[in-house]
Amino acid sequence: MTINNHIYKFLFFILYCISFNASSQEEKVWFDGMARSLFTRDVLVEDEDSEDTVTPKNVSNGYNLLDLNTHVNPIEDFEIFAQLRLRNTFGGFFGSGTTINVRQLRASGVINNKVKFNLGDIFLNQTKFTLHNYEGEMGLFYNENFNSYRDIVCYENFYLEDRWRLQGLQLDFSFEFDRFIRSLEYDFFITRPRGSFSISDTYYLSDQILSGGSMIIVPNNSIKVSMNYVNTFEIPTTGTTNISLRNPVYHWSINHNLHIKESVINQVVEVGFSNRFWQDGSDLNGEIEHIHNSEGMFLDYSGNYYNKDSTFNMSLGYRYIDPNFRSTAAQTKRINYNSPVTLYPDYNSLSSNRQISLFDLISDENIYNQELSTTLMGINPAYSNILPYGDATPNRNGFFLKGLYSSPNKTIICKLNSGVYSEVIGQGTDELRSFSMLQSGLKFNFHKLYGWSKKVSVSALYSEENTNRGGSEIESLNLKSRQLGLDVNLEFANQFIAQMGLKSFSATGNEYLNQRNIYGVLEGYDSVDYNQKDMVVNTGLLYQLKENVYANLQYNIWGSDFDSELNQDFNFNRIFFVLSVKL
Amino acid sequence: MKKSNIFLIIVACILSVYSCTKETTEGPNLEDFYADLTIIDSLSLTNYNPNFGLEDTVGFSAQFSKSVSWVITITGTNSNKSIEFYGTDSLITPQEISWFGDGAYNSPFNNDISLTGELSSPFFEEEMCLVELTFEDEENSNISMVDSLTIEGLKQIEGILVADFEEGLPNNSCTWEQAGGSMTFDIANDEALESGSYYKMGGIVGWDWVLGAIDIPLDISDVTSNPNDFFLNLGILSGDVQGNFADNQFINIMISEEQNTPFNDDLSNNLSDVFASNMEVYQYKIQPVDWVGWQYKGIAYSEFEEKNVDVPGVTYSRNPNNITAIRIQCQACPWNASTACPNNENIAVRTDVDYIIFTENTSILNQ
Repeated sequence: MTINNHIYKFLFFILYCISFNASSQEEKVWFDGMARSLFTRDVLVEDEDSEDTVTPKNVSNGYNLLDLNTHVNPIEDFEIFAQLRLRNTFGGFFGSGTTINVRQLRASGVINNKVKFNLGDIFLNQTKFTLHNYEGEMGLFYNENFNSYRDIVCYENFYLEDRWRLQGLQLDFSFEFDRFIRSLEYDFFITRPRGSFSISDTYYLSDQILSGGSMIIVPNNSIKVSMNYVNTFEIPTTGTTNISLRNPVYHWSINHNLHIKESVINQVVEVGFSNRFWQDGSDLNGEIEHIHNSEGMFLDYSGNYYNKDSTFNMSLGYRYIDPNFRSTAAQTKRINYNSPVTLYPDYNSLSSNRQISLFDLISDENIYNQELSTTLMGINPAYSNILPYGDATPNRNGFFLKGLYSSPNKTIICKLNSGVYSEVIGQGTDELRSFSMLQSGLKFNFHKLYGWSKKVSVSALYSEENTNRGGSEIESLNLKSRQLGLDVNLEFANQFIAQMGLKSFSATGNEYLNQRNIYGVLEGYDSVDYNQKDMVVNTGLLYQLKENVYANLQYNIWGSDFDSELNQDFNFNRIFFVLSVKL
Repeated sequence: MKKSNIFLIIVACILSVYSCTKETTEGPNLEDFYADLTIIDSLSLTNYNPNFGLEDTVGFSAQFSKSVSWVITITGTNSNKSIEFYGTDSLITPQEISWFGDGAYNSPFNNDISLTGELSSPFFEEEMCLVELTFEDEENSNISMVDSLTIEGLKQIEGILVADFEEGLPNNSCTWEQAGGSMTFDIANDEALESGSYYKMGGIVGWDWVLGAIDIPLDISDVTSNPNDFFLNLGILSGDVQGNFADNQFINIMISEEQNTPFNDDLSNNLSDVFASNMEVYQYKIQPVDWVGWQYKGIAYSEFEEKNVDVPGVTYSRNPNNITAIRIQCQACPWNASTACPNNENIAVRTDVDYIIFTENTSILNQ
């Protein structure tokens, strides 16, 4: 702890000096950034009956890092941004274990006060069906007390809201009119999510390009019409493969607002379609053939009611996603279930590969994905089976209901997200899966209720997913997963908050995992039985100087019980400390 | 926009949804992966006594409860020759799976000759055959069906005979050999693979890799097969009575598609004129020839490499009906010019050949 405190003071001093210098340079060059010190110590809890003499009993990891953001404004409305990372792993001395990376580079500005541009590392989001970084399992498993972990996972993976971090060029401009149409807004971008790289000496993958644009028409205060288009494609001449992807997605939406005193009734209709195929130019006659062509459409209607003071909102809607709807930039998952876990990837005397568990979902930044996937990524139905690819999950048809209530003084905050869906067509059978989901959260801020100066809050989270399919013994399936989370926060001294929490997850039943080939074609199934319980118990101490400046010490007890001969149970303990400073 | 218009748009969109998806299921049938296999119709044959010489066929039929990977194996009880048919389906019909007598040929090879290598009996005989239907991926199932048939007549091998040496060397062919020791380049009659004669190629040469060759002119312009379906077949005899053979001896086969040069107008050189280094020549090396006795080889024309590909002006457009000549060249490591093969000073190279024939669609031993 002593070392961390010194490092914290040192980094804080540097950032303070940098911020001070900024004002003295007439804001031509200014700095901000982020500093973090992290330490973890993980302990393998052994079964008394079977001593593991191969796996290390405990491991320690940690690092200090400083992300220094340099903003250079040589002229008005123009900025060059560079993020430089200095990272030192604990245990590294004299330069060993120290890395210096350029983490982001971007030039941005406004041309002639009309066209805004960004060039370099840009963060893009369009619609839920065209370009969207769906939070997926991250939206399910984070209690408030795991915000320190969440901050790290999101920051390290560039998860800024629902945007994908891409490299390319973006242009925005708009027109305003005094009759018929109030405004006309345009946005265009072209990015390269993947550059050409070699698989072997003679085999090069092609450049992958993501481009698109939006046009938003606002006739009046009540109606907004938008048209969006994205296309993910590969340039075959940049590689040695004869096969290249094309995945255009078209989207239209109408948004209507009806203002009633202190509330608004909003209706949104979204429709569109996608086409995905690969161009095969391997024919010796030079003819290009389209292979694995899939076309699909979608429809989403939501009726929303919300109070203008943000104390209440509710959405009721219907969604249909065609089984063949494919949208690379909207269906890519954050979690890559094929990634090895960072902590104890092998256990049980190094004989078992540890699969991604609840605590890994919460804490392991390395299992998260920053690259777009042109085919549907693998899922774990135990953790997310109903909308694993977000609202754009293909082969879904059903209704959803969402809501939020917050008392005016935020004494009580309730959240609800529910849905009832079914498949559009069956997988391997005429029988259709039916799904139901319920996610609810409730938070009591007792200090607001009783007017205490010290924060005292209790929050609970309950989530449930059910999947069913009828039919024969082979066709039928039934998978239930539930999670319960409980957090207690008690501020016992100024800015010092004691944290206590419990999270449990269980999945029981059976499902079929899809086996898809490299073109995403469903070729087979793996029958999987689930009888799994995950658990995380958390106690900690949070010292919160500001919203973005905090130190958090936690003790986590976590593990998984599989009740299966195929998977061995595991249990771990962790001490976790993080000091995070964002300026 | 009026509310009624928005409502109409929504209704139109919902209606369009249900006209979009035309498929009823995605992916292969689940039952095919997890249901137990049961036989609905057992294996039956359309002909139990085929005479392939009369172009008889044997059709197979069977039906199963699910799509499954199956194998039909026909094994000659006397020759032990076997042939297999593969498929993945829930139904086998004679229209899709039939045996046209592939592998059931009147053998051109002499009865006292047995081929070395993996195939001791290259062809079915007029014999009883066992027919077995098995299922590869059904690990927990011991289901198999057995039937039998009797071959009453064999097919004749169809092909374009290049040389069998029964009437001496082929017309207009030319040969050449080094002035080495114990050179054997001549017709022989002692242990032919097919009928009574074969062509010997061998000897002892210490200064050069090439010992000699035979060039044969060809006119096969009526062939329509592509290079993948056009096969050169030939038998190769090696080894002396003690079972020894020379180090790194091999046969280099060249095929020429040269169209503008006569086969052998220039008599001042050793062999044909259509294998020059500026011509469209393909080559394939059977290297090494390291066995004792006869072996029979079948090589697809598409497997021949382009010999002069780096020579400017040589255009390659491989086409079997443009073949104008073939060269069978005997080569071996020269004991005096290389330190790698000192034993070749005392052992004669032997790469004798017989029954050189082109076939279409498959090689002879795979027919």
